[in-house]
Parts: sequence; C-alpha cells; structure tokens
Amino acid sequence: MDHLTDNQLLNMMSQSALDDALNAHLADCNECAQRFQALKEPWDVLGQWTLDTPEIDLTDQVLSRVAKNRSIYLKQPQALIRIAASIIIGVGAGSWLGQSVARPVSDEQAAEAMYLDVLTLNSSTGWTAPLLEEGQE
Amino acid sequence: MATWQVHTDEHLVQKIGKGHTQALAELVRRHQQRALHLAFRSVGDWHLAEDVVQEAFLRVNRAASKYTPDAKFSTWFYRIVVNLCMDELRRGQRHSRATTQAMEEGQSFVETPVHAQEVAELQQAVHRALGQLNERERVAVILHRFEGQSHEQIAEIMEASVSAVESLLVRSYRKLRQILADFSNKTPKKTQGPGKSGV
Ligand SMILES: [Zn+2]
Repeated sequence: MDHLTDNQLLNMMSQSALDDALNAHLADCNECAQRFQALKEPWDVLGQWTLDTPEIDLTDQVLSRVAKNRSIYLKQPQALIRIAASIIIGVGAGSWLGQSVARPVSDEQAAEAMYLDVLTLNSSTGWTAPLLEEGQE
Repeated sequence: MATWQVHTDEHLVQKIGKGHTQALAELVRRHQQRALHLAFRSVGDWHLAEDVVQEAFLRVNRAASKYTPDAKFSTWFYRIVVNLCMDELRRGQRHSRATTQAMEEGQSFVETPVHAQEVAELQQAVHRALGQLNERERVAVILHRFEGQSHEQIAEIMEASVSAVESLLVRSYRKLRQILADFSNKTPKKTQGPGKSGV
C-alpha cells in the first residue's frame, strides 16, 4: 500500500470513524505514523483551549441597533442626500477618468481612486449597501 | 404571537426579510454563542468579537429580503462572520492587546495560582501560535479544530476549493506544531468570557 496522503492523515485526525485499512497502515508504517503525529500534536494542544461565555446575550443590542439604524436613515434624509451626492461625484469622476486615461475604468476603480470605494456595493466593508437599503424602506 | 422556535433558520431569514424583528431575535439566540467563540478565537478580543457578531447579524438583517435558501443559513452566516474577522485581522496589530486580555480573563477563572500560571502560559502560547499564521490559515484552523467543520464546509465558508483548504490545514498544523511543541503534554484549561461586567 502507498503511504497515506496528507489529506487522509488530516481526516483520520479529525474524524472519529476511522478506516480500518488506513489504521492498519498507520500502525505498521513508521513514516506515516510520524507524519500523523506531526498533525496530531498541535491538534491536541489547541483542544485544551476551551471557552465559556454563559452571560453574553447580544439579542437586545442587535435589535436596538436595527431599530436605531432604521430611524436614523428614515428621520435624517440629509444622510441619504450626502451618500447620493458622493455617488454622483464618484460616477462623474469615473467618466472623467475614463476620458483622461483613454482606457475603460469601472465605477469601482473610479471610486477607489477617490477613496469612495467604501460607498460601492463590492466594498469589503459593505457599509453603503445596507445604508441605502435602509433608506429605501 | 409567533412561536419562532419551531422555524428553521432559513425560514427565519425569510421572515426577517418581511420585517419580523422577533425572527432576528430568535436567530441571534440560536447562533450568537458559536459565532462569539469563532470570532473571539479569530480576533483574540471579546469586545471586538461582540462587535463582529453584532455586525454579522445586522448584515443578515439587511440582506434578508434578498436571501434565497439555496445555501444553508449557517454556512452563509459563518461566511459573514469569517469575512468580518479576516477584515479585523488585516486591520491588524491587535495581538498584544488580545493576548493580555485573554490571559487576564483566564486568570480570573482559575482556582489556584499554579493553575493560573498554566492557563496563562497556554493562552499566551496559543495566541502567539495562531498569531503567527496568516488570517486564512488561522480561520481555517479555528473552523476545523474548534467549530468541527468538515473540509467541505470550510471550503464553502471560505469560498475555496476543498483541496486548497486541505493544503491550508496541513500547512497550518505543521507550523503550529513547531510553535506549540512545548505544550504537548499540558492538562485541559478553560478561558472564561467577559460576562456582563466585561461587555
Ligand atoms: Zn506509510
């Protein structure tokens, strides 16, 4: 039998149900046993780190933030106006950049160039999409 | 009054999309604990972990109206939490603060000074070890070791192939073995959460 693959060793380490043939190989093959041990040691040490968080309940905080966000963007239309203005500037900048560099520039690239990428839907922060959605409700 | 406990996660998200805030409350109750553990182990700071989890639920709320239940809710939700954690890790430089806080909380839980010292040593070692992995390695190990996720589930959460996840895990455990070599024979330890006073 060929030596066990890393993935087989990984599966043997993390799964309680073990394959008999693989187990038999592991018992007979010193090389595989050492490779298995190399994975098992850190696995066991990490397993000693258990957490206990009995008192944390975020329900009220989440619900109050939901309610607050909704009221802010419904009661303060100027916040939406500022966002809309930023987008108009971003789109304008996009078309201006498109003309000046003579190659296609996406809205995202234009926004990024002006540090407005946080306002785009593809931003890693994703902040603006929810703001706009809240306001449209 | 609706009995939200009987609904599946996926059904609750659809209800949230229709404006039922109590459906969101039920989802929070179901998933906050595991999400907090995942976030704390990733970012190493309870307060930051709470922020991450709250933000994850807010994103669920915002996106609920567009949710289509073709993926399991838990996979989708874990992906949101993991992405927020990785954003925090990239923002970086929190390890020293995280280690200090985790050690203090570990020490507040223990019964004897000897035990306290062992907990502190283990906390420090685990944080230092995880801190030496890049954010993808770290999150993959946390999902694998502590959240009991299969290779396939981790791949789905991290939006990677199964083989890429397996390579990532093997590489990560090998790195961790070198860093954690001195802690292979220690006894089980527990770290306490911040509780009400710490929130
Ligand atoms: Zn072998």
